[in-house]
Formats: sequence, structure tokens, C-alpha cells
Amino acid sequence: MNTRTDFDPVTLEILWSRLISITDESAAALLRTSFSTIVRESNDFTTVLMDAEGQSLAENTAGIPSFVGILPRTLAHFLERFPKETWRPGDCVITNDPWMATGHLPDITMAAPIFHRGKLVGFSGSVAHSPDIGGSLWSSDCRELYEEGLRIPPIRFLREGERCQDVFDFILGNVRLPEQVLGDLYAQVTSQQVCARRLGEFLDDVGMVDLTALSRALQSRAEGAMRRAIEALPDGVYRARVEADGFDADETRIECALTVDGAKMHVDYAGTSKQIDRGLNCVMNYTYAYTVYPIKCALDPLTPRNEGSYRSVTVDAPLGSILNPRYPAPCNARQLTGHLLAGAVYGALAQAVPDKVIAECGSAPTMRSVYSGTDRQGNRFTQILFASGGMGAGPSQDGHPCSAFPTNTGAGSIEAFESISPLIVWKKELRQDSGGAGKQRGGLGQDIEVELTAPEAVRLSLLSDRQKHPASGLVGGGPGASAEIALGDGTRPHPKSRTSLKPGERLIMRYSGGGGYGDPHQRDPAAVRRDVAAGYVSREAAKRDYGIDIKE
Amino acid sequence: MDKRIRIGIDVGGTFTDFVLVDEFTDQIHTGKLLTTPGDPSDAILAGTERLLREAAIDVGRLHSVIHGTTLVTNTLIERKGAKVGLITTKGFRDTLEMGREIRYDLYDLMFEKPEPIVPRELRREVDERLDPAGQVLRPLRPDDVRAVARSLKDAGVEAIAVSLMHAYRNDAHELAVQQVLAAELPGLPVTLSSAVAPEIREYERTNTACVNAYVQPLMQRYLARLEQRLRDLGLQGTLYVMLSGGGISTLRAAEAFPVRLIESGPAAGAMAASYYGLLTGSDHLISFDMGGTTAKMCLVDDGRPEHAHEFEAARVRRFRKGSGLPLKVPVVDLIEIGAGGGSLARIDAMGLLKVGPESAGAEPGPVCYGRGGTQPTVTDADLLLGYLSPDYFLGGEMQLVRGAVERALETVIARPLGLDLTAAAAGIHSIVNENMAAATRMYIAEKGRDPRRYAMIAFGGAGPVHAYGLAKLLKLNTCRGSTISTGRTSTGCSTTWRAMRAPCCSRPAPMPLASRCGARPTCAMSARASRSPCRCPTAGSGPARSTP
Repeated sequence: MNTRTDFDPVTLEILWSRLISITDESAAALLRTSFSTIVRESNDFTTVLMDAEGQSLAENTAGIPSFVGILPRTLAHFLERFPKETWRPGDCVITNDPWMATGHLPDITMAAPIFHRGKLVGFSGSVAHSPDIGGSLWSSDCRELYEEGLRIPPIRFLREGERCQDVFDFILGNVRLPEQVLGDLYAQVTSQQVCARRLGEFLDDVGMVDLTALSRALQSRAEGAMRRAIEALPDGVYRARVEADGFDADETRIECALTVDGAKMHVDYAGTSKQIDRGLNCVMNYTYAYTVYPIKCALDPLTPRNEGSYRSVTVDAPLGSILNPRYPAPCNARQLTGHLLAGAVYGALAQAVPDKVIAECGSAPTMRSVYSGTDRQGNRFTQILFASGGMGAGPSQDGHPCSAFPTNTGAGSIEAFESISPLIVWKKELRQDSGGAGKQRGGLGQDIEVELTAPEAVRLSLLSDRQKHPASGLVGGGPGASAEIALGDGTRPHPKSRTSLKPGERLIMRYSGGGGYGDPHQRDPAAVRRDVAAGYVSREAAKRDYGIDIKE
Repeated sequence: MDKRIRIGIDVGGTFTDFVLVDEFTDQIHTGKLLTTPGDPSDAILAGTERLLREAAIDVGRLHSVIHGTTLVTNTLIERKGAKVGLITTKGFRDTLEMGREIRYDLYDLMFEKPEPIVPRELRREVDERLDPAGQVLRPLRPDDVRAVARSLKDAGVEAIAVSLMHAYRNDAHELAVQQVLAAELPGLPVTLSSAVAPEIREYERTNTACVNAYVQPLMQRYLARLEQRLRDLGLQGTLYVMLSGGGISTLRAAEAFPVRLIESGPAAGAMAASYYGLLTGSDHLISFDMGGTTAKMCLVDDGRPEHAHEFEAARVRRFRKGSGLPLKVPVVDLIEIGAGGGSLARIDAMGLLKVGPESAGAEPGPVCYGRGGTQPTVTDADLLLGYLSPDYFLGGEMQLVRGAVERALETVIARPLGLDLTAAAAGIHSIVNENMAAATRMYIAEKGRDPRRYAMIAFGGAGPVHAYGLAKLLKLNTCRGSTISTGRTSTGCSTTWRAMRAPCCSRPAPMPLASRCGARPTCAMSARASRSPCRCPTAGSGPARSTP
């Protein structure tokens, strides 16, 4: 048994892929044992392996972007509350504090220590979106965090493998779906146990006593990859502004200054809108995640992620701004702000490397409608309609229709949706002319019409933006179409409201399209003709936006 | 049980394999011909005739011919199927194009999506609607269907798929559409979603119906011609085709639902593995098949391979889940990863050694083939490490070139990484094993099983060389190597019929057509994998050598 200090490129590759494989296996355990559909169908979770210093070593391959790089920050808070020497095998600490963790209450973060031969060698962590956290359901109009649900400060959930009963009772006494919530909490515990067990086997297999040296080697490789990617950019300060509807008169303005200085990148959001008393605030952790994620996609998509990946990029936002709000600002719908950051970052990066980025996405943020009430049999139901607007176009391809970026929640089946709720979807089709014009056309949004068939009204919560500010184009491309929401009688509900849908009433939602890329007049006329033949683009738009006259 | 004579035929991308099982004499005969892509039945006929001749068996004595084919898969990958029209519920003509709205690659901004199998211009709507209980919300009007049928006829479609909302619950509207189509467009093949895949989830069901319609005209022609030619040859027995789920089917059923043949080759392979499992008394088996480009792993419990109800075909990125067309068909559930003898070794942006999934393929192939390959592959590493004999590759038919391999490995891998030749070769060998182990662990973990309960059985050109290392990484206790690698799939075709009573035999690949084997049980040589902790090459040991 020896402690290595250096690793050759073969060994390092093998050890690295094994660690990723450990987090993937841990994620498979979470997926397999969870009770809720949000984890199982929307993939809204991640698993992370951290070293004894609490730095991330490996993340599961399919971990979702909003959790990027956050767990080590949460663990640091845990270690502040419970110093390292107080942790024992079988412990597990939990929180959902938006400021310490992932930015809104429904995400539950946990971490457990991993002991090997009596020594603390690392931590296994997980985040999963809980099926319920009490409070106001998913909405954007709360005035304070306290309305939004139960806040769990960092607290021991398990102590030496025994459950802390008071904590359990307290959490389960405050949520709508205690069985599902409990099932998912245990799924997280299980995934962490799988991670710990596999890491123990790994250390035995490779004959190492701890992860210190390996951790250093892996982080320095990942850091090096990101540094080289940044070094390839011309130095300078690149600025971009993104605007969004915000809440009523409080429009959201994101000011982004991206500085490239050698191998370092700094993103500063000075000048961004102040925090507001509605749930659109985006805590610093979430701001950080949605800044780093699009940068990694554009510059260094292939390197596996660990602490080193994030070292070369620093992010700052003024305290008290919508991107770094003070406690207890409401933040339940923080995605309506956080998802805008990809567009701001790409707007800035486009000035340096236009061939590596895409135009703004109609799906950032995407429209969500949440229905809650009683079905025909008298049973309570809550359903979220998952659907996306169009992606922005890139330098060499049209934007994908109906695809979410930077998030990736996907859409379920309408037949399945109708089977578990008293709602009928009459239409779900591509929205003509919604893609921004460009050499590469923006992705199309979609049109959806929903009707309530239950005898009583249901509560409807809308979370949407982009009615006044559509997704912008890039490098001369035009904007996508704006989002629209209307009821069957033509009235327009507030886009960020909790309202109701009456029996027989239809909700008509038009999802926004992605921005175009490049000058529309440079678009291949054959591509315009194909778009018209397929009905993606109307004849009128072909003439107006592309200058191409297509006869019947 | 009655004694029978059967032939199993597997048409692969490169070779068509034959196995004849004669239960009267307890002998099996095998053969191999190049596949004839223009008309695969050419090779089938030629091979069958030769096999019968060399085995001195009259065609009239054949009880059955069982056929597995990649024709459906290839038609889909190459997009060479029929021009299909889709008839769907009003408001849902874009279901096929929107799919699951998922980005299958989280970090690639420029990812591509598969083209929908029916372009938007050929997707037509009818104004009808059922609710989830199958009750009619809006009735179907035959006149609407007639108008749509005529417009599709004018557009020149060669087949039609019908997929209406909630048809899995109530197929009345789809049947009514079919009736109108039969009158308006007689003779045109029609696929109903409620018949081919009566399951909830409109995207997957619609896609399955469209793919079925897409391959149907071609498969109908092919199967009819094949049957005719075999009859002309004098076949009196039955012609069966191998299904993706591991069962067999008559031609009539296969012609109605050709989409169910999509994984017929791999299914037959898994059935052969199951059979060897029975022979060797292994209740829990991992079938491991490593060829030139891919490795396939499949769990076999109590003689039955793992099953799934969905399969993803024609991926834009072959090894990336979510990048293909999901089909609701029963399949043998196996994983396939880009790890084969031809997998290329390279150094990535971080200066680490990577192997695969890119492959040197058959042309130019590994450096050691001496056909112009310059990028070292797994096979090249195996040669340098002494796992492969340069003088007995393909049974001695092909001489491997060692010098070129040393030069390539030195230039491309060893020198840039500061390793000696052996360490570089051992690195390639270990990394491909690690890749396969990681994929297998996930495949097993997703099913909630424990790999240590399983024995491994290895197939394929590269399988036996890597089985020991893989088994060790997975902490398996037992690893079996059947030396049948070629012809396994065709063996699977014939063993699926019933547990084959004739013993199996084995030979290095490829065999001349109709090699006769002395028939006594020799199937599995068993080697106990070491229980000692595995070590990376740098921990002081070379790669483990498998016990012969």
C-alpha cells in the first residue's frame, strides 16, 4: 500500500473514469429508488463525489446544469456548522437553504462523509428536486421566501446511521406529499451509500489510502483544459445586455461584462437590476452555475467536470441585485432570471468567438403552466405541463425547435398528461414564423391549447417571460417571436400569476422561438424554400425577412 | 422429441453466416459467405445450397430455415425506405418532429437531431379525438379521411402510417381510417399504431408506426422473394425469421410488423449465449461480445436474456442514448459501446490516453493489418502484448505486421506520453477494458443487480482476449470462453427454435464453408479469474494474462 504522488496519463485516465463511473452508479441508484416522477422523468438531480477538503472530484455524467459546481459550496456551509472532526460514519446532513445551496426551496441537498479504514477520505453529495416542500406551490409571485415553503437549515438528518426522528417528523409534517418526499430523501441517502461503498472498493483496488494526491492531479488537469480554452481567446472586456419582462413595471436588465485576461475569465454583472419582492431573484450560487455552464459548453465541452473546471472563471454580481439578492428575498421562480444568463454570456463571447456560441433561446426561460385542483373522481392532482420554446441558431445550423437551453427538462407525453389530469390538450404543434430570421434560422416555438374538462375550476400558476422581450438574434440574425398567453375568450392572464381555469375554458399558449444567427439575406434560398414548403416559414415572412418571393 | 435438421442464417453487414444442425447425426456444419447487399437472398441461396451439398443433406429433409437479418436496421440508418405518409389527430402532426424535447448531449451546443421519418409535408391531420378513457370527444368523419387519402396519393406515398391520440385505448378510429384507405388506396401498405405498438405515449407509438411503414414495402418484397427462391430450391420446411425479442416468427407476421426484426441479429446472439449458459450450467451469465467496432453486453438469467420494451434505432451518434428514434418493440436488452478491436487510441486535450469510440473499421483496419492504418488500435496493442499471434490470426489466413505497429504506437502514443512501448500498449488494453467495465457496471446497476453473481461468457473476435481483464474489473468469479465467435448469431437462430440438443463446437474464425466438426461437448473452457485486487499497469504489474 503506497501513496502515490504523481500519475502517468494512462493511470490518470483510468482512475478518473472510475470516479465518474462511481458517481454515475450512485445516480443510477437514486433514479432507481426515488418515488417521485420529477426525479424519475425530468432527471432533476445530480450526484457528486468530493474529496476530504470538500472539493468536487467527479459529477455524474447527466447532472443537470443548474447544480453545476454548487455542492462543494453547500458542503463548505455544512463544515462550518459541523466541523470536520465531528463527522462520523453514517452521518448525513441536509439543507434546502437557497443561499447555501441551489437557489430555491424545492431542491434538497445532502452530503455524507466517506470513511475508509477509519479515515475521512471524502464526501458524497446529492441534490434532488423534491416533489413538494410546502408553501405556495411553484409560482413566481410570492413576496418573501417564507411564503415559498419550508426552509431547512443545515441539520443532521442521520447520525451514525440512525435517523434523527424530530427532523423527519418536522419535514414530513410540512409537505403535501410526505410519502413521496420521504421516498426521495431515502433515495438520496441510498445513492450516497452506493457512492461511499464504491469509493472504498476503488481505494482498495488501486491501493491508495486516500484521495489527496489523485484529487490534486485530476483538478489540475481539468483546470489546465479550461485555462487553455480561455487562453485561446483574445484578451479584452466583452459586454452584453439582456432584457426581460420581469414583474410588471420591474423589467429585468442583465448587464454582463466578461473579461478575458490570459488564462483567467471574470464575469461581472454590475449594473444589473436590483432584487425585487417577487420570486424572480437568483441567488449567487445559481448565478454562478448558469454563468459557468454556458461557458463550459462553448469553450471546453468535452473535459469531465471537477473543482478544477471552475477555478479559472470567477463571477461577481452586486449584493442586492436580482443576481445576488439578500436573504429573505423570494426566489422560487429563479429560473426566469437565471436562464437569461446564457444569452448574456454568449452575447459577450460572440464578440471574441462568434463561431462557438448560439443566439438567444426562446426556451430561456421557457414557459411553465402548473395546474392544481380536483379531478372528475374527486382526487387532488397537481400537474406541470413541460414544453419548450425554440433554441437559438448557431454558426452552422438552424436552431432546434422546442428544445430547452440552458436547462434540459424535456417534455412528457400528452397522452400521459391527460391520463392523470382532467385536462385535454387540443393542440401541440410547431409555431410558424416563430424562429428568428437569419443565415441560420432560430428554432421554432410551439402552440399549445389546453382545456379543463373537470366540473370545477382548477388553480393555474403561470411562470413565463419573453412577452415584451423576445430572444435576440446574433451576428445580424433577427429575434424569435414573443411568447403569448390567452384564454379562450381572448383575455390575457398575467404571465406570472396564480389564477384559475374554469371548466370548459381553453388556455392558449404560444411558446417563443429562438433567435436567428447571421444576416437573413445570406440564407441559402433553397433552405428558405424548404422552410416554406414545410410550413416552418410563411410565404409572407419569406418575402419580408429573406427577400425571397415564393409563388404558390 | 423428434429429430430435425435446421439451418440458421444470419445476414450481417459484411458476412452471411450459416449453421446447419443435424440432430440425426448430432453434427453441426457451419459456413460463411460475403453478404450480397444488392439482394441478400443471393448469398443466402448460394450458401444454403453449398452447405446442404457439403453436408450431403437433401433440401427436402430440412425441417426449417431460421433467418436473422440487419436489413431493417440498415434501411433505417441509410434512410432507404419507402415514402411514407402519416395520418394523425388534428393538432398533433408535429409530434414526430418534436419528440421528447431533450438535448441528448448536455454540453454540445451544435448537437444534431435525427430527421423525422416522415417529413412535415407528408404528415396529415384528421379532425377527431378520443379522451384517455377511449371515449369519443370528436367523431371521425370518413369524408375527411378520403380527402387526406387522396392528397397523400397525389403526393406519391408508398406506405401509410396511422397514429391517432389514445388509439392504444380504443382503436375504432384507426380501424375506420384503415377501412377508408383500403377503399381509396387499395394495395397500399397501412400500419396502424394501435396494431404495431398499442402503448401510451404518442411520440414513441407514432414513431414506431412510421418506421414500420417505412421498412414494410422493402421487407415484404425481400421476404417474398426469399421464400420463393427457397421453395424453388426445394425447401418444404418452414421459413422463420428471428425477432428482436429473441423469438421467431412466420413470414406473414413478419411482413405485417417488420419493425420487430430490427434487432434480430443481436437477439440471436443473445439466444446463443443463453444456450451456452444452459450447456455450462450458468444461471447468471453476462454475455460479452467484442467485435471490431463495438462490444455488446447482455445479462442472461436462468437461461433467459434480459428484455426491454423499447429500442432506440438509427442514432445520430451511435453510442449516445437519446440521439436516435425510439421504437416500442420487444427487444433483448443489451448495451453496445464503442469498444472493439478496431477502436482507435489517441491523446485527448488534457494529455490523457483515450480509446474509442472511433474505430478503424475494416478499412484500413488496425495498423497490423498492413492496409494503410496509421492510428494504433486495440488489436495492435493486443498484438504487441502477445495476446494475439501474428502467425495465427484468422486461423493463419492473415499475417499481422508487427513492425508497423511498433512505429505507429511509438509516434502516436508512447513518445508524446513519455511511456515505453509495452506500457503504452498495456495502457490501451487496460483503458478499453475499463470503458467496457464502466458501461457494464451501469447497465447492471440500472437493473439493480449485483455483478458478482454473474459468470461471463465471451464471444467475438476480440472477446476472449479481453474477457479476463473485464471479468476481473467486474469482480466476477468465473469467465468462460467459447471459441465459437463467428457464426454465433446464426447458431442463435437455430438454437432459439428449441434448446438445441446437438452439442456445440468451436473453431477459430472464419471457417471455410461447411467445416464439419467432430461433435462432442467442448463448449466452455473455464478459467477462474483471480480474486486478488486488480492493479493498474503503473502499480507494478503488467496486464493480467488470461489462462488459456
